[in-house]
Amino acid sequence: MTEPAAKIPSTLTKSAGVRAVAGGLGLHGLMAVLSLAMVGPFVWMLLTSFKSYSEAADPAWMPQAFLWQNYPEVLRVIPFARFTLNSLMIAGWVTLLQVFTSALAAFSFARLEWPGRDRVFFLYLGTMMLPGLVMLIPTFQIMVHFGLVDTYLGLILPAAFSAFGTFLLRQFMLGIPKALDEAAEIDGASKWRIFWDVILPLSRPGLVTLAIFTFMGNYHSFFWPLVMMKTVDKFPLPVGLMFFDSERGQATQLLMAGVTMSVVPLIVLFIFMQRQLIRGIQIGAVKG
Amino acid sequence: MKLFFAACVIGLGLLSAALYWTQADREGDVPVITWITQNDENKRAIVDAFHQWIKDEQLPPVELRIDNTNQDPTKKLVQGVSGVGADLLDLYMYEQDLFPATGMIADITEDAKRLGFTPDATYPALRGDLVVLGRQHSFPRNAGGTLYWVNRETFAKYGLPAPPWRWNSDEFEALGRKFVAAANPPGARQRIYFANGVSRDVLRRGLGLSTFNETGTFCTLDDPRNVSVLARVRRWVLEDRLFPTKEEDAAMAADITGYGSMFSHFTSGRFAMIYTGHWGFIMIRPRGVFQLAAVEPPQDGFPNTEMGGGSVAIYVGTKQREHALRFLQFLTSDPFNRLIVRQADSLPPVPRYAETEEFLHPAGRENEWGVHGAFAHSGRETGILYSRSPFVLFSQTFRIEIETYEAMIAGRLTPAEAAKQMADRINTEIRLTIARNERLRTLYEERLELQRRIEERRAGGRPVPAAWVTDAFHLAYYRAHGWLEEETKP
Amino acid sequence: MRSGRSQTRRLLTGLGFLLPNILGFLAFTLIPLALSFAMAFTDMDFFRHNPFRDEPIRFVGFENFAWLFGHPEFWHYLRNTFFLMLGLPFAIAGSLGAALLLTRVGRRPGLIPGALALATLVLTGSLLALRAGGMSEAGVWFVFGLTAVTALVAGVFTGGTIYRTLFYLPHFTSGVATFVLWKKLYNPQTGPINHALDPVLDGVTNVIRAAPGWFGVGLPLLAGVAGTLLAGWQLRRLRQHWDDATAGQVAVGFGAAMVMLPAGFLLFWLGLSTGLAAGFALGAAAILTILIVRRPRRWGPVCPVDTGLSAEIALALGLVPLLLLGAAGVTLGPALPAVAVTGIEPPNWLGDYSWAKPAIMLMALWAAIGSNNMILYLAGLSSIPPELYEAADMDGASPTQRFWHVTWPQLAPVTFFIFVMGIIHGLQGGFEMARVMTLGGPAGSTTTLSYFIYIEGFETGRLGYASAAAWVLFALVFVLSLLNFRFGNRGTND
Repeated sequence: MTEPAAKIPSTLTKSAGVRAVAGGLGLHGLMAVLSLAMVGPFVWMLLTSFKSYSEAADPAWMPQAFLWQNYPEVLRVIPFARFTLNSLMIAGWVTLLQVFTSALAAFSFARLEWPGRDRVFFLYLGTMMLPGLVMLIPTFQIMVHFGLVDTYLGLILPAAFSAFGTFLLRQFMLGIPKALDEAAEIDGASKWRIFWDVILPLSRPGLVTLAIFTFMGNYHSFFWPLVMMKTVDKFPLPVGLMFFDSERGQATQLLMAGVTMSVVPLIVLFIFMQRQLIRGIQIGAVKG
Repeated sequence: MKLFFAACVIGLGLLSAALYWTQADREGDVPVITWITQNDENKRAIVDAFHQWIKDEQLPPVELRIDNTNQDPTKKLVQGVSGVGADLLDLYMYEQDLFPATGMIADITEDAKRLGFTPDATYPALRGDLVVLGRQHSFPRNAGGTLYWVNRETFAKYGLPAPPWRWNSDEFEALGRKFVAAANPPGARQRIYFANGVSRDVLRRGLGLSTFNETGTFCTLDDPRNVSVLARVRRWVLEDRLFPTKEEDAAMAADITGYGSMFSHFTSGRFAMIYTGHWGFIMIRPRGVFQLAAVEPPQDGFPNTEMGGGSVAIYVGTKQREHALRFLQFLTSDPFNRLIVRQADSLPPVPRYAETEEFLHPAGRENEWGVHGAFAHSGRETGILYSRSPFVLFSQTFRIEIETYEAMIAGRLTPAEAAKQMADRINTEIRLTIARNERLRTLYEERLELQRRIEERRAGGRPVPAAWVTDAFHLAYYRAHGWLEEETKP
Repeated sequence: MRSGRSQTRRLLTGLGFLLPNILGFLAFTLIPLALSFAMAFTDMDFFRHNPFRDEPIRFVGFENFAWLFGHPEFWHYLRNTFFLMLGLPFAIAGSLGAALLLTRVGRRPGLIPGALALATLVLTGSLLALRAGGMSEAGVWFVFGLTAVTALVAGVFTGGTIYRTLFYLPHFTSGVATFVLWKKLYNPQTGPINHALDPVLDGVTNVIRAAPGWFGVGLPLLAGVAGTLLAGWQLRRLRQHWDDATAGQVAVGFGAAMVMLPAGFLLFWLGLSTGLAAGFALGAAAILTILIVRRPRRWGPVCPVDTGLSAEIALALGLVPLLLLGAAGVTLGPALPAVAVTGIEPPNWLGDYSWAKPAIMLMALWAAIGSNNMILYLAGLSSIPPELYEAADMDGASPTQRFWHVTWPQLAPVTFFIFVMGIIHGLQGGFEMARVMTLGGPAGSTTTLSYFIYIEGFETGRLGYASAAAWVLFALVFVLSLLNFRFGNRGTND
């Protein structure tokens, strides 16, 4: 195992410099190879998205000719932009609500002391352990009861309150020194102020991390929207992509083109959020 | 941070509002019925033809819409039993008895008589699909048996004769061995196979054995005949290498992508034969012109082929029942059947259209002439539906059979153990069903009594009333052997 | 000390913060939960209990559970579930490794970019030239080369952002798309994996064919000697690590078991029964562990979250395949002539009883390395106070010691979280995968408990029965997590 955060020696002799260059080369080489392993399947996906229908089942990786029209074809066959916006909107709301409610709950579990706290927390944790599958039917019936089937709300609400987020943020908040709230309390700050002005900014890496996880997870969620939604106009992307599924042979190349396009907004978002993530983490590190 | 939160809320709010208000307004003057099926060119042509037919027949106008996004079986089921299904549903394979069992499929027995789409309008062999416990609930939109498609070019390439139309297992095995030896150079890894797989059901039925007994009260797969079939298939897979280890379980495959590779292997010569339905044309035609033929799967004793089809049913919660019924009536019409003939998407539901020149010898497609007639023959003469019992879901039977078979191929069970395990597990499922379902328990007890009487009569060499035998295979088998006391219409 | 009033106020404040979450929690988690618990004791079945068919629901007591334990395949599916979870430590080790590498890249100053960019340019140029030379199938290598090169250049200039994004890439596609993708990759006839393996295995076959006759005798000898040396080296290493206190008892035990595992396989191949072979391997591992652990140690007690376990796991990733290769060499010798005739076939991945589970674990590993866990580790790593490393440097700690005495204990809360979530997901997993990729086959080898619940709930409609299975699963997860809390949490809160 390597050690993290290798320090560059302050006195940089010539041989050490050569060694650093060689080490850097080696490290970057290793990273490139590893990246290739992670990317390989996607390269295949990308190449397949340029194939023709009859080629799509062939073992060869390369298409005989690059059919760029597969992409416009996807946009033509399904309302791709609408599906994407649906997904972004649903995942956005879920993320916002979940981060907020989880932060509140995590604050309560990590920074406040009240009787029965740990028992309630364990109950929360316990609910994560029951397979979501078995709650599907009761939840669906609740949705039918509230008239939420085939609505955006029906996708947003059940996902907006998570024990996972609470657990994650609690772990983060536990790491913030107790002295900080005590100091604030002596200054006469209310619990809300402590939460909003002290703890929340300090748990920014946690919040960003949870936001990324939640967003990714919900942008991809498949089974619940599949069962819930009926109107094409309200489909999120993963369900919408099933358009290319049909009983007798799947338009693999179109599916792959669609998946490729669906990944793009996420990558953009991730690169953007990543900066936040790093900054957040560094701030956290200095203060923690 | 506060600003960021606020910006997020406002942005999302705007987006939601925009998405909410731009939903297409789907209300029109003309009533709409939705049909859950695939959205391909063939289906769109059917929709166009239906609209034309409505106009020609001067029926009240209605708009038919394809919904291919709600096709997932689980989704159909969950939405259906929760009261939010679509008007028309395509049913395949195990859905044919699973969906009616939930009560979500409309009983159309009386309407069928009124509008002329009773089971008599289509292949007699399909009856068991359409009628569950005496009530009709669907009508086929296409039908057909499953046969071996032969790529004659592949056989010619290795100087071997093309397979005969009808053959037994030994002939199948002999030609298969010869083919595999000729096509794969010695010392190299095998790349070319005789076929993609074989139907164990057909082999069992050839020996007079079905999955269930005459009344569907017991699974009979622990019979020595099944052991011999399993042993033979195991030899074909593991020793003779006629098929790849795992055939594509086409009918149940959740990943439909499997089909594509089967056809591509067929046209490229890696599989000399593939076992599939008449609809294969849809996949093969775009790949080029091949010298084709279709032959029966190996027949030992009682000639039979597997029959099935996709049928359309009406959701019990539909608000457009009358319009939906019209669509089923359309399936018996001339324009629809001729359309299916042109599309070569299995046999048209009305049998006489499968006897036309247009179907048998399509102009300009001489290479296909050896196939169409074969499928017409199978639909007319030898096709038998999958055996099923009202006491165990077909999907379960199917799953258990495959799982056990695979365990045998993996070397974990001997053929005798596999046969016993198949029967044991399926019979356990039957016990679980009747333990809780009072309605079916009563039926089960009646059927058990019938079974006893059937066996009594058979032991005495006397014929059995046709109404007693519910299993599709046994009915055909008894009829062919003259063991039935056909009911005379009063 | 505290007055009742203050107690109540504390309770109210605590609950106040909890309120928004708890409302949603009640509506969408607790109520369905309670309903499903109730269902587990009824005969509910959506073939008989739905809006169109209103039969009374009956209470059946523990009958569903009795059926479940009597189900011939239930234990098989349970075993499958646990087997697939064996990949968890590897996934965690992989994520940690990836995070460590990324952290290193991130901190490297831009000293080398010039040289690298130049090399890259040359490489790209030559690849382009090759491409222009007109190769169709070899164009794949061109694409690969280009991808790697692009990653390299971008990595050098962006200092790790691009690697991080690329590592996280598997997470960008939805689960279903990933499964469809891997199903295609694994296709024995048309998949690119076997397409790539084909020429390799043909090459191996050719080598075997060309090998002289003594090879059949020489190979087992060679493999045996090499395997023994390798195993001996590993055991010495374990002993040293114990002395250094960079490995705890569990780590030593795990390491010894990994060394003995191939010996067990060897015995199994030579015809011993599974139980005897495994018993021998485990027994030998236990004896070795005791021998090592009884030695006095130089560095004093170790951290309670067992030190060095992931190092052993990481090592096992490299070592065990080598040892297995040795064991295979020993048994394969006499079989070589036969192999030369038939050739070596690439595996039928998802279609083969023994390969399906490893194939799925491989896919899961691929998805897990650059997953959320990696992000969590990245966050964890960057919040380790630098002073700790400085202090370690003052003590003259080696890189390994720095890792085991600073990094690893500091990461303990993150590891604990990842482990708990991993167990929860592992036990509940496999349902979408099975639904898309294998339908639980072949022969039920990839049917996990959650897929079984899916089949019972949605295919056979027996909701009561499915709920009972789900609650059994719940009990399992609960017990495992409880154990983990009891024994794992010790290291996290100090």
